[in-house]
Amino acid sequence: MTAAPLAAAGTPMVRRFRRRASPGAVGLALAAPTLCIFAGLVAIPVASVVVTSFTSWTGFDISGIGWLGIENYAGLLTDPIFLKAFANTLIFTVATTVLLNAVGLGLALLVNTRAHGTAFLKAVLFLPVLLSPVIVGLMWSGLLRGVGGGLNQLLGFLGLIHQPVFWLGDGRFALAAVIIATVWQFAGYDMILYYAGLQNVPDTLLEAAELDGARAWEKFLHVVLPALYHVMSVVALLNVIGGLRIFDIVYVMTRGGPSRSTEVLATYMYEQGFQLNAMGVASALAVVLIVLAIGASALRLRVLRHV
Amino acid sequence: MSELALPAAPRKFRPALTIGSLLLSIVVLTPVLWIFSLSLKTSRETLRPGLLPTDPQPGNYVEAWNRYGLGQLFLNSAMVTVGSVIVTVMVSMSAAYAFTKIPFKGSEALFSLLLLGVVIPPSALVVPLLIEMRYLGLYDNRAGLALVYVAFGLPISTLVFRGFFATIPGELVEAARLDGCTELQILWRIIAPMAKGAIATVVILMFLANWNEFILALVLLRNAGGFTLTLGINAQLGQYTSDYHLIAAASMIAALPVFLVYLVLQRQFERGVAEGALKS
Repeated sequence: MTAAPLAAAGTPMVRRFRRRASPGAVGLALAAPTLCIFAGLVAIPVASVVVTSFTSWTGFDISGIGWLGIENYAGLLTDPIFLKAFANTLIFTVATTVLLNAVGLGLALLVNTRAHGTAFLKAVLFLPVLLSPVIVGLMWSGLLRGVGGGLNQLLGFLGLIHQPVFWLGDGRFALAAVIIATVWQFAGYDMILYYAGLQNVPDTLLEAAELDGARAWEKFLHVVLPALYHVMSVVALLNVIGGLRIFDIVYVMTRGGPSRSTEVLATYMYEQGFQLNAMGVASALAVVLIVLAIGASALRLRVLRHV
Repeated sequence: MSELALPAAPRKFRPALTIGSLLLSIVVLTPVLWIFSLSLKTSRETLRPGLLPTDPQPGNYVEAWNRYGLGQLFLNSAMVTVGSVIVTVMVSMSAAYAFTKIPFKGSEALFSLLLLGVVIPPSALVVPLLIEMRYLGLYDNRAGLALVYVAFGLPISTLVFRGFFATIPGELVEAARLDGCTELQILWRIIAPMAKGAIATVVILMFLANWNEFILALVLLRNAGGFTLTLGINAQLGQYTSDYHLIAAASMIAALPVFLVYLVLQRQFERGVAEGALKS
């Protein structure tokens, strides 16, 4: 909407460039809307969140801002809630990444057999990918509700429980519940990516392995898996980045509770920034998130170089 | 092409694979079916055991639609999504064209910087974005929210377009230039019609991301009249637990359009999502 007039207004401008300016200037002009929007709404916010992370600020008056140095960060290190949120974020990220990759690859192999019914499974698996995490959180909250929830009914029917279990209200189960809901939502995503990767496994290598009399699992281990390394690195990175930034589903299902058992970095940042107006602390938390995400993608590039 | 990619399943396993697939499908569908069943129950029945509604209430859907103002929420989501997707496609396509066909001084470095945006979590920028949007007078404004969606969509969209444009021969562009076409004419009249696949990929990626987006909307919109669907449904959570059947109905209504589009465009969706991820 905003850029449409820009693009239209660009025509005479570009014509003038053609006569007077170098082609380079035309290139810059065409890239300018993207670069300006990105600079204004991503790059500048990144820079300013770094700056405000070194200040005390309640978010209202810029003049009330005070320089704190690394105090916000130092404060986080001794903040038990931060440490809990950090640990939960790592647990969530590692658990969802491992589960999603294992389940996604397994399902891709199953779908790739093209047996009857696998096409239907593929379509069904992709449905949750299309949903907003808000709705996914709502569905799982309904399924896991203590009274009238589907899981308790099933377990009661099977005679496994006699009292309703409040899955989301119990610190022992809540984080696992959020992890399972997330795996449910994105298993189809990982499956589609692995399935695409499987289509690129070189047939010639598989045939050669077959001629050498390789067993099924040998072929999988020595031909299929190495051919999937690139896909695997992309999928794992996307899962890790998605895990680190997790917010929606936690916010909807548990709001970080009970007693912080599902608190993650993004929900804690939201609480600090928008409920406690501690913008400095919230900014420090945001910087931790950004550093973790960039660190993960740098790590992937390093690992890729070695395979 | 490569049915071999799996250790080719012997014929005798095939029935087992089929049964396994169908069982898995049922497991995966369970949460959706559960909410669907809930959406047809009476308020009282949502608390009682029972798989299926004893007396299905299709009227729940009408009541949810009216009570939660789903019409307005739909409209808001549609405006924000359609607006942001169109702008993202146009703007990122021009940039990708510049990056591939008219490289300028520093274009490589700028592109690398833009790529960093793929990994920046939007949730980490909500504090400065809120301040900035207030300052620009775009806080609590649907167009402002759409613009932020554009900003976060640009890195991946530019990347997808750049990947496609790199396959277009330079001679084609050169020939058009000799014919006197301006760069914008080349882009919109010659390149864009060839790039339908890449456009479809970007549209699908951005449609899914922006239709379902939550945290930016939560922070940047305040007035319920401008809420998007996800935000409106979230606002009902925890209000009255006795209305769970209505919230379930609202969720089904919100999920329906995406499901329908997927049914029609299944292949494009799957390809678009795979390409969007694997091209990086």
